[in-house]
Amino acid sequence: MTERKRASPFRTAMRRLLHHRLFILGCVLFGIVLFVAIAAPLIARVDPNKLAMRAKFRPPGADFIFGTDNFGRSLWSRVVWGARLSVLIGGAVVAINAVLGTAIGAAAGYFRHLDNGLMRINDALMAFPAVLLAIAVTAVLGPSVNDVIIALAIVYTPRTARIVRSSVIVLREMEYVQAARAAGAGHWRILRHHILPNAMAPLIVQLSFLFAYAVLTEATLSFLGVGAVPPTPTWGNIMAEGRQYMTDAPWIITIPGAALMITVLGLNLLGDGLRDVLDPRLRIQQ
Amino acid sequence: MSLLTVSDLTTSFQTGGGEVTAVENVSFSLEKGEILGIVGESGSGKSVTALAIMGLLPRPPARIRGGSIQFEGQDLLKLSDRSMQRLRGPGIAMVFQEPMTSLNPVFTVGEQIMETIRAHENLSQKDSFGRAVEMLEKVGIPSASSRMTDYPHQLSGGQRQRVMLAMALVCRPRLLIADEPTTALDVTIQAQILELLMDLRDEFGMAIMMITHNMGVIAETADRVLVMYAGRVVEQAPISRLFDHPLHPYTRGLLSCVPTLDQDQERLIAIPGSLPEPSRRPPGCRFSSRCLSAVPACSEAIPALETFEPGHAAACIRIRDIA
Amino acid sequence: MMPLLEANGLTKHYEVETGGFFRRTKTALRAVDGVDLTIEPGETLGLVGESGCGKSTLGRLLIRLVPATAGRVIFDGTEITELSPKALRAVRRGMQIVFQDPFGALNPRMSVEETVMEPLLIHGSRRNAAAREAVARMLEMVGLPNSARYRFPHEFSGGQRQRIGIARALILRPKLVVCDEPVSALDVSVQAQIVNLLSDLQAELGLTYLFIAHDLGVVKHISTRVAVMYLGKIVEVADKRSLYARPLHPYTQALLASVPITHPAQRKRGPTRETRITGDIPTALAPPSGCRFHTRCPHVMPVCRTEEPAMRTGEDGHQAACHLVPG
Repeated sequence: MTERKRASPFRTAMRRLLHHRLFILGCVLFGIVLFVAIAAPLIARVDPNKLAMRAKFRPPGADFIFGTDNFGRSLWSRVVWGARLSVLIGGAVVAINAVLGTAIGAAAGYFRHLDNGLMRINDALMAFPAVLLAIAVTAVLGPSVNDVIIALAIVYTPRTARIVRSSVIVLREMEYVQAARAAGAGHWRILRHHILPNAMAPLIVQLSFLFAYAVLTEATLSFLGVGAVPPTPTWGNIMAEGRQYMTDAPWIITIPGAALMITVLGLNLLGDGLRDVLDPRLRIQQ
Repeated sequence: MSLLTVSDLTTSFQTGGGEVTAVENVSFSLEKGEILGIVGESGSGKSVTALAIMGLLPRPPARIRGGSIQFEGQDLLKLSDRSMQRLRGPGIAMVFQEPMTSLNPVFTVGEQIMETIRAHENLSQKDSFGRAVEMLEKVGIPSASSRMTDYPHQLSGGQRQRVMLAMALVCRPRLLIADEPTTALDVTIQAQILELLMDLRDEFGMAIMMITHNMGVIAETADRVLVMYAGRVVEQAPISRLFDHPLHPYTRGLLSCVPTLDQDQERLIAIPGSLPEPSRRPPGCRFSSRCLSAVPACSEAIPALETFEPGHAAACIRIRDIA
Repeated sequence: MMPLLEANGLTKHYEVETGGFFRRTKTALRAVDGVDLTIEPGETLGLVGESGCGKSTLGRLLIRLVPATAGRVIFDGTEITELSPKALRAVRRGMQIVFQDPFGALNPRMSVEETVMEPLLIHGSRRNAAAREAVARMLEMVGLPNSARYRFPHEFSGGQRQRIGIARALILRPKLVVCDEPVSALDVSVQAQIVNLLSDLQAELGLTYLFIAHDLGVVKHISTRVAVMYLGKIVEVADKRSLYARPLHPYTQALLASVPITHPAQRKRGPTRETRITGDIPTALAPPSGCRFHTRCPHVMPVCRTEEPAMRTGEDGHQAACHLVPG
């Protein structure tokens, strides 16, 4: 076909993203974390749980780049494998959220008779502080990585559902949706072709922030001792153990803290960039 | 001396795709008590001209690149923000198209009118209340004193536009800029508001700049008319000349493409094409891309406004050939 | 001849919650309140009225885009008010709608081809050469270049978008098209193009239009017959010439008197404008008793406040619902 394909809204958005400096910085920061997480078995060959009592409290240096902790475990290995866990937990929570949140939000927004019931359950769940609810759920399920994922999904899905629902309510009344109905389109087709594609922009923005929340909340749970059980190398666990030695071996708590900060900062910059480009309501205000 | 003289006003906007000219070399004047109609469609620059006079253009992205706006001998473009603020209200006032968003929803009608009074005059609470009620009665709000405590959402669209008029007129401005004041209203309400505007002009003797896309509104109200297209003035004429002997092809097109109640035609005489976006304006005469009388010379230079009869000017090189 | 569409007692009430926090009451907003209407094949029925009179809701009720509270609609011999979703889908081929807002009426994420082809796909076509050929023909009919098909709505002007919307409505070759203010959002210089296009397509495809508008000039130009609506009711229906030359209902008279003049020489001021009306449209939450127009009518009589006037048919089928009209 010789016909030149014109810029679709998607391509236009991509082009604008590539010119957004903070978005690029966010991508780089999060990209580093992602790379470390994926490459963990290659770049941290020492078992993160291998004890070496003779080598404990080594400061960062030539032998151990990040030093060792109170059991002589390599902090590099622990932080790298911790990144893998954080990304795994964040990614899983985001995936579950995207599916469940979209389904619940779309159902509540599109089918009026489901709205009241679904949203009141949502409101009830959102009334609890996120960490408190997560603690309660892990207390019931048990402290493993899988259970932390389920807990965080339960905590954050209502927020995602609410965002999807509010987009769907607006989109449902658009005239192109009416036109599709007038042409005889069924509910499924209308949702799939006309409503969900247009509801994706705010959802994607939300999910990028959600990734950051999930990583932070998981670290909080571990730090409080209600997340994945020690010695699982999560950043929260490392920091919890390092807390007692903050004055003598400050690297144990600061290095995972910095990793956590880089991850959250990267995701937030990424999310801000996506919001600037994708969310038309905020674009108008500029 | 004219009340308002705009000379060679040129403004532009900074957009993502570079700087675009919104208004170019616009000149006109307005006498005391006169109603000047400014006709144009979207992108013609009519609202930008109005906002430039009011000093309300958001800068940036807007920029005034040249020209002057003389109001009662003062160049408004050289006034400080403070002096401009003092002038808005008693000097120049404006009513907008959308009466719903132009009123603040959290204050009552009375509070908003009295606020305007006290921003400019040192009146007691009681006196400004009296002035506000009197003004509401003048714009035809029934049982005005009890309406003072209403919030905007409690009023109908027509009543809100009346309140907007009351707010604009409460400081007795010498110039009222009405930007599409009836476009959002139904015909029966439009007729009422236009008649009210004419009555208020007679009573207060203010000049009115009536900005609209509707030739019917112009026919009802204006003394003199300015026709704008894509940021430039294309024709200027006294009201009856414009309707009897329109010169510019765009003006002729506007007058003939709207179906009226007293004509019967098989087909409407349409102007082809659509308004060019500011970044895609054709070279030379901006109407040339849609003009049925265009010749190659039309694309060579922007035609100057040329006077054909006293007070009647048009910017088109083909007028002598097509008349 | 059998009418293409017939509506009897068509009613749409929306429930609106009013009142404070503790005492909520549900009030019916009477958007459309007992409308009888027929549309003959091949004609253009103009439907005029001010904002909030229910004309847009009526247009959507007639093609069952919104479900009716009461009353029935017979389209092309089939009663559609009670049809199952499946049976309704087949009927929908025959009736389509063109919207006012050329921005909101097109899905921003679908190309022109996808938008115009979608009705075909809904009704069982494959995305194949025949479907693409049908889209190409349709684009040509509405005056868009074939190169438009891969472009997206934001690349078009308002008038061109309206052409895309018309192409989508006509690709199924419907019998009835509801045009809901199709030109009021467009620039004046573009309106005439769209009006002409609709007329040409009507002649070419033998379409029947319900043309909803508030601009009395445009309605006069395009319509065969005109219906005037006020607060959820039809108050007058007549042949175009009859209605514009001899409006019977005081509301129609007032509407026509309110239309701006076309030449400054027609300017009149003051008492000569007596047919113009004062005041605003009452709310459809609590429409006035008796004749709904009595609060604004210059000829109001005591009977108007208590008794609702029936629709009376005069010579040449000119109908009006007013106590002043001899029955």
